[in-house]
Amino acid sequence: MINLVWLVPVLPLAGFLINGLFRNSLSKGMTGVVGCGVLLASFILSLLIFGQVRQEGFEAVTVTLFDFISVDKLHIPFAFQVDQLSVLFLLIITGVGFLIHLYSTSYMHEEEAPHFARYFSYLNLFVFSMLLLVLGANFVILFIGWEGVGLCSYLLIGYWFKNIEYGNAAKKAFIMNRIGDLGFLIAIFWMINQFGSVSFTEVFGGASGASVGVLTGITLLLFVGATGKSAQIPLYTWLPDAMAGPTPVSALIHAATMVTAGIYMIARSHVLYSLAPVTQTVVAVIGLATALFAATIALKQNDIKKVLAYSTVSQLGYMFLGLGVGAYTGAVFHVMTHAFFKALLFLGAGSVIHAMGGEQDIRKMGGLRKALPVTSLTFFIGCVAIAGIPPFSGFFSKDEILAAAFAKSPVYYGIGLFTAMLTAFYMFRLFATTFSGHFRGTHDQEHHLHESPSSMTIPLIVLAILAAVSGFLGIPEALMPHAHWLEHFLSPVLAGGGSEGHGVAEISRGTEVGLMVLSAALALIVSFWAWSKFKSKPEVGEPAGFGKVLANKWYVDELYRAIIIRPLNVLGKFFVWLEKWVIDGAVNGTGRLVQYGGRQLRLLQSGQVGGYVLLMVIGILALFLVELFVKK
Amino acid sequence: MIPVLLIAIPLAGGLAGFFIKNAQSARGWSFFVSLLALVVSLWGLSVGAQSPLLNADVEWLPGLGSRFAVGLDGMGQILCLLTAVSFPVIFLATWRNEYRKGWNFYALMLLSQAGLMGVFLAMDALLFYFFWELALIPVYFLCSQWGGEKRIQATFKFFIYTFVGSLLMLIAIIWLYSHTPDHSFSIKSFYELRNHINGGEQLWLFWLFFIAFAIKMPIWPLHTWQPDAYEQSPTATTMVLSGIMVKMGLFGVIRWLAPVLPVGTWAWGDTASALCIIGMIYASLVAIQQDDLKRLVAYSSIAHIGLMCLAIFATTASGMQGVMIQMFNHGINIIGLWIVIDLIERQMGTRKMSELGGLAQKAPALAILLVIVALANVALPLTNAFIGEFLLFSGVFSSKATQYNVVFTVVAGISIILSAVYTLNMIQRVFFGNTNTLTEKAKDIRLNEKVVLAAIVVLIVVIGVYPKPMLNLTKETVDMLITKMNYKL
Amino acid sequence: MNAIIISALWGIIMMFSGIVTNKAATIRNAAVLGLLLLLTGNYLDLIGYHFFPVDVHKMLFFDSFGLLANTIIFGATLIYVLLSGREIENITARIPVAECFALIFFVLCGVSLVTTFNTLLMLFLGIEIISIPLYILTGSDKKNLKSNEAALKYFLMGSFSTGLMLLGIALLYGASPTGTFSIDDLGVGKASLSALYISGLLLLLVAMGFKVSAAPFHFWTPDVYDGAPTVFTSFMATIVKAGIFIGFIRLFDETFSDSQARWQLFVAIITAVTLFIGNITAVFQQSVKRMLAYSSIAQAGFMLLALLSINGLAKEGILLYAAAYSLATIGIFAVLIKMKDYTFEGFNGLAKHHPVLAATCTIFLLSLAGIPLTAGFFAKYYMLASVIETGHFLWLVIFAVLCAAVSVYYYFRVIQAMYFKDGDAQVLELRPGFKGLLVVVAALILLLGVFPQVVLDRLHGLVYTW
Repeated sequence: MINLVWLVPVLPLAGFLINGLFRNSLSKGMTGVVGCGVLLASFILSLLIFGQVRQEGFEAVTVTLFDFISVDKLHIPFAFQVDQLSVLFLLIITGVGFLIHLYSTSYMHEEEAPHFARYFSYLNLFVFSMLLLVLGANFVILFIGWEGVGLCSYLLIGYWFKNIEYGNAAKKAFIMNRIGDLGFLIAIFWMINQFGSVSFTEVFGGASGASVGVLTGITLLLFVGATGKSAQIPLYTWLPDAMAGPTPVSALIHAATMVTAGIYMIARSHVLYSLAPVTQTVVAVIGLATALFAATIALKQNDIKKVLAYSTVSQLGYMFLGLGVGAYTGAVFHVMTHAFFKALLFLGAGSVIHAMGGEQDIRKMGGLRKALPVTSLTFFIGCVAIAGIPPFSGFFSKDEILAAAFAKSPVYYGIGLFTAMLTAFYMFRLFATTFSGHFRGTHDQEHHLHESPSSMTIPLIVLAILAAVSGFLGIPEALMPHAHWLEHFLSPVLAGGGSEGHGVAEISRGTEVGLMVLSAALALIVSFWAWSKFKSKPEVGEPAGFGKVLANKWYVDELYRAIIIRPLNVLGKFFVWLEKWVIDGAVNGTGRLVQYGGRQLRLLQSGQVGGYVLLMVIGILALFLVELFVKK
Repeated sequence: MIPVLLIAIPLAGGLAGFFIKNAQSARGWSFFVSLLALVVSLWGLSVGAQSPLLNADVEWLPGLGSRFAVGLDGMGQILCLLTAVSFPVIFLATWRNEYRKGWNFYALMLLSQAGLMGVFLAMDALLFYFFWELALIPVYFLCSQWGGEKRIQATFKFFIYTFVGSLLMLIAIIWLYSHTPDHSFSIKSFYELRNHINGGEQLWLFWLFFIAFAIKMPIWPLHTWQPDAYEQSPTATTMVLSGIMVKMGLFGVIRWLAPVLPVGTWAWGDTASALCIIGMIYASLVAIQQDDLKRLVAYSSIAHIGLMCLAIFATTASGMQGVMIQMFNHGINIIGLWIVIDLIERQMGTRKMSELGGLAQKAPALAILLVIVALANVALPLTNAFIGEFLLFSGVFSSKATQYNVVFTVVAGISIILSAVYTLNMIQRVFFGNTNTLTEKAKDIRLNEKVVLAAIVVLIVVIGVYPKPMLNLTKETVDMLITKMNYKL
Repeated sequence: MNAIIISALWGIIMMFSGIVTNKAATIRNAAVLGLLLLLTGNYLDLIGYHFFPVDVHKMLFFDSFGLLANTIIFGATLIYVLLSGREIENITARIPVAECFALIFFVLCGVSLVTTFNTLLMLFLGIEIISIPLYILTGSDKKNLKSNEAALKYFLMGSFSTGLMLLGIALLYGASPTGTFSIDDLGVGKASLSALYISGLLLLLVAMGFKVSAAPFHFWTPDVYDGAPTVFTSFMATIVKAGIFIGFIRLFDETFSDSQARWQLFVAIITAVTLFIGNITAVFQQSVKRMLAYSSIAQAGFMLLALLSINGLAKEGILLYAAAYSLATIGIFAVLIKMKDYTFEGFNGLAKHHPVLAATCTIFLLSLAGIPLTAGFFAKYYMLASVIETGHFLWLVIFAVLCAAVSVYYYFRVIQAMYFKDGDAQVLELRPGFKGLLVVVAALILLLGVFPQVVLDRLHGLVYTW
């Protein structure tokens, strides 16, 4: 069965090819069937593989397909690695992916057939790349998937290519990812140089032999890659713009799967990170900063998708905090729960937008609870989950990270907790403004309000259930010993360098429980406060003062434009000038000089014999002078 | 045997072409001839590296110690294959272009192919120089006869510029020849020279060669002939120039400079590499500023070539392998880009991006194919260029020949980002957005164009997914070069 | 010996042929016949049949180098007469055709003296026998002021250089211990260090430089070449110049080889100046004829490289160069004569109306520019190689190739005009034979360009056995 793992990515690839090549002939129905069918198939396959992997004493298996690149000593096979970690991601990707595909069939139904097919082919291609990313048995295959998902996100953000704005957003996303990818690439070259290989087993095996400096360098470069893909400071600004894409895309790529690639990659190479404490600190700090920073921005956003986008950035920051403090399992756990509730929230948002006829500004919504019962209920569950209110999933995963953070340093914990409060606040601001109170949209919008079709609500419900219960996969030791199934499951992969084991152990059970109670209570209070605050009188006016700064995202985009993009443009213009007047000028100048010389020398040809003879005599004298004075 | 055919077929075909006084039949004829050449070069691939068919060596100028010696080694195989593949593709892609006195055009095209083949096959320095010039002459006539309105000046500049370079190279060749113990131009005697000439002499000889090659590639700051030439030439010729001719420079460094003057190459390696890198960044930034599609591609090509040249001076097996395979990839990809640009120009009558836009709605097939080629241009994984650039960069990074390897890698790496910038700009400004009055009436591409582009795309993906055969092809050559480039020997 | 006597006799015959008949065609055919005789006679000499067993008292020495040079020169003359002989008749108000041909033969006589002299007296004699008829030919277009002016200028300056030459010879005579003109005994031993000797050497260098129009003694060239009837310009620029060059090489190789180190620098300087002035000045010319005048200076500069490095390569090379350069230039002039308008514009669009003319013309120009596949390439190759062989003067070699690049500029201007510029080039009526002959010449140039071996083998053997 495991040897068939290659089928898992190949099926979506097939779907991509079918939908892509025959997009003009396929009916929407067929497209949908193909698009979802392949996903369902690979999901089932993943389940079967999972069934094998979860058995006790399962050893990681490497499936080599063919020899990809082999140049003198360097051999890079096209190989997949099946172990607990990759299988977990397989399930998330194919499972959530399938639901979102299903959801898309009706969400994108207005599109004409060819574009509908184009959409699904892109989506399938994305899943293919994402599966390559998590299945790759070496950093190069991982990188292939890494850039592949970047491409797909580019294609899907710019899916409505008539709109230049969307195009720009797509470009921004691709280029910012490219910046990160450069770091990743250089890290790979460094590994090749250091370990003579890029395969996980050999690199991690040789890690202990390498100097801390080298490891710090490599891990930092890898982290640069992660900041690009997982939207961390300083490369996060593309993610909010990426909301230009269709909402299901935002749910799948920009919430559930792609943006967590960075976390996966670092968790995967945790062996290296555990050996590079400096990097770990950097990761933790950057993650924490991003979490806080994004949360503050989310407070004042009025576009329903933008709020979710910034909350995604913030949550990703959380995960990096977890990685930074060594809580690898916690980070992965949060990836999973986050995949559920954030996908749920986005799809809910999609359903709202669907109902509102494309309106995304929450100030023009309100009171949708009546019109969209299922959506609002599931959305509520999502909010509760993300806010970290027990016993919903978010609470457990977030709390595990916070506990580990506290173990590292209370400051981490403090900021983390504060961020959690902010999260709870803006989520319930969002929920209240959207679903409670009275409707603030136009009349015919109100007239058209309707609950979405079942193909959209079913995914919502499924995800809601998952968001609600998935937390129980990781019940903290403190509450119930040996109940942390996930940690147990992942231990073969992550226990290796996982400092989180003793990281959590450092704090006594009592404190841990205390921290839990504290954070849960605060989350509950803040959520209720926000909800009550906004359900009656939501902010509809333009924000002023500090709120304006937040609403304008701290003017970071403007900053980047000023310090990076404009200088580069100026430089480019200068080079164009240089090209024309200096470099090429020199070339043409030489030519002109020759012509000029010709014109001047012509004047020697006076036509006067006397002149000629004179010049001849001068010439002769010159020769004699040379003879006299030049020593040979 | 095979090398001789590779040269003779296009040569004879071209000479015959002058007498077919009818453009259509001349086009058919030259297409047929180029296919024949392709068959022969495939045959050359099939016979195996040790086959005697791959070499030919006959008396030419005994008085001068020069022989008509031609041979196919790994690098020759790749470049001849590139040449052989390109020409049918070019003929097919520009099938509908009308040329005044077309038969002359096609004849000259074939002659240039013969010249190029000769350059890649010559195993004798004087012969190499011969073909080096011969490849140039037909192109000169092609460009100044059928090019754009500023063609004469542009081509003339190009010609004199490269001519100066090649004359300097001639001096170096003669100098080396006069120092060979057996007074011979054969490549073996040249490879022996390392024992007979001291480092000091290599230092200046290096530049006599390198200037010639740097002009051809071109390397900053000797590149200014290129954008004008590309812009003014008829697209078919531009494809030859950019797809194949620029490889002459790289090829020259690899076969006639680095192994012959290892000390000089090593001593000037950093200088040359610095020029390459400046060129990469410079060209990329200039490319971002361009509005004319042809100029944009021209500058992007400068950046890509710079990277390959950089990898040569890195003197690592992986880097050299990268150069080998990338020479092929770059040729294929850039020809693909030219084809698309040619299609656009023929339909819209303009190459200005500012006047285009929204073509994706009117010509989806074209858009998709271009996007794939463009992605290859930015070296996305699973396209052929990724293999190349990955090896190139890792070669540069792990270079022992310079202590600046990390700096080089990082700075050169920036061009990866910049290439994404201008390539995506191009895609967006040409294909996305809304149509304007001009692009309203655009049509999608016809079958022959679709076939050609599809073929290129297939090549791109196949090499990108399974590069192994290509890499194996040049293995021996690379190992030989690396040992020869070791200046300590 | 054969050549000298035959050419002299035939010159006289040609002179009288004017009395016997005034049918130009007959006279021309007679000339052709004479040239064929010359060639055969000279060839027989080469393989050892001497018609005239005259004791020349070491005054002349008939080595294969000189005789081979004769062959090339006579052959070139033959082609020249066949291509452009007719044009002599088209000069209005000229001196009688017969006399023109007679003078040409006398020039050839002089040339064959210069190529085989063994004493300075013979050299001087030969030079003068060449020069005097040329003065007349230059002025042969009697009614044309430019022609007359050119003739006068040529004569004045020519006599000046003659004076220099005599003075030089005298000084050398004085310097030589034994008091001899024979180039075998001149400047052997200590003598070659005396000031007299060097002065004489320099003066000879200048005088010969004047004849081959080396800068700064070239000033007569553009005016004379421009003023003289084109048909004779072609003759002077090619055959005469080549002949004198052989003598030049011979003189320095035989006489001054011991003191080479002392005069190489002068030659280098003169070469550089010549290359520079020739090429740079040619760039700005408007008339193709004048451009060719300057290009002949530039080409002379290249040939001087052989003088700089007198060695086997140089001697082979100078012969090849003489052949390549003469063929190409004769061809160009033959076409030029047919043009109504001598300016570059006059060539616009020639390719459209006369493809053959244009194609052959292109080959000639490529050869002059020294592009591979043409004889010109190997000619230049030999010059460069010979200098590089000496191991010195690399700067001069680089300078030379840069100048060669410049020369491409003005040669290709003609090609551009013919092919890429629109216009209707006016051409006088053409005989089919003319075109055919052009093609033959072009083919010859290509042959020399691809398989120079066919000649080189002979040269190689002969030059070294000698």
